[in-house]
Amino acid sequence: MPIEECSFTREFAPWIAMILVATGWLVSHLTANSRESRKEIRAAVDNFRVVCSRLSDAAKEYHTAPNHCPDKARQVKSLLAQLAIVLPYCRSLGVGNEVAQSVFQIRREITLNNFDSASKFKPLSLGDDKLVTISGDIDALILQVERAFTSKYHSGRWWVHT
Amino acid sequence: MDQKVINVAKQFSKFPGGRFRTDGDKSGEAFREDHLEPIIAGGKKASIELDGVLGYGSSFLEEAFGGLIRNRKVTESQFWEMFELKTQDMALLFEIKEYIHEAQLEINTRTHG
Repeated sequence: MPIEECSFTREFAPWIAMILVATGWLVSHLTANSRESRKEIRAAVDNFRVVCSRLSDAAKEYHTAPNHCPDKARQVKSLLAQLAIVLPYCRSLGVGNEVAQSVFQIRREITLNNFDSASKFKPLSLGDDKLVTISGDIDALILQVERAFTSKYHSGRWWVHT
Repeated sequence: MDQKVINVAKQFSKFPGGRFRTDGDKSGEAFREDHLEPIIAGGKKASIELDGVLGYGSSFLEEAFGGLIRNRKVTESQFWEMFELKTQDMALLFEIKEYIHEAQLEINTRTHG
């Protein structure tokens, strides 16, 4: 019996070694891939936070300025367009549609009324409800994206927790 | 039926803005009247490429797309038969759909009380 075991081991040893090497390579490859995509998404989320913060400031500046300012309006629209850059990443976090809806609501809140019209522009006070809503909606959007990131990358799954 | 392509950035402006012509010549009203309504009048189909612009304001979008329905140029369902919207920005698509739908609801309410 021990002689048979030895011959079995000897016969299959190269195969076992190959399987172990392949498994090791696969695990390290998957882990590295996961780590890279986590880094990429984290960088996008960080950039998104910066854009959100600049948007909040720009919206406040535009709406509280004494007159309609085309340059400030253009800056707001450009920052809103930059928010869309994070949408593909949000899709990979499983919240693409929800974030797109939030971005749309924020654009609507900032630019649907009292925007891009010199003749109808009315400056708002800093404590105006509209500005409070905009600021709150932007904070909620950041939270929404951060939660999605946390739930994907900090859920205790070892293969993404690297 | 002919399929036209309207690239907003190339054929209209990279900086569209404002609701009415009084707000500027790159307004939603100007885009609707100069680019969308001729398509409808000619009974054609068109694909609208929205990307490449340096940002849209909602007032522009509402006037350009919601305005078509509000001014009874087309109904909501006719719009989707005639036009195809192309963009990478899902939020933009959601928003335009919403304005078209809201304008149709407004028309229905006005018509049926």
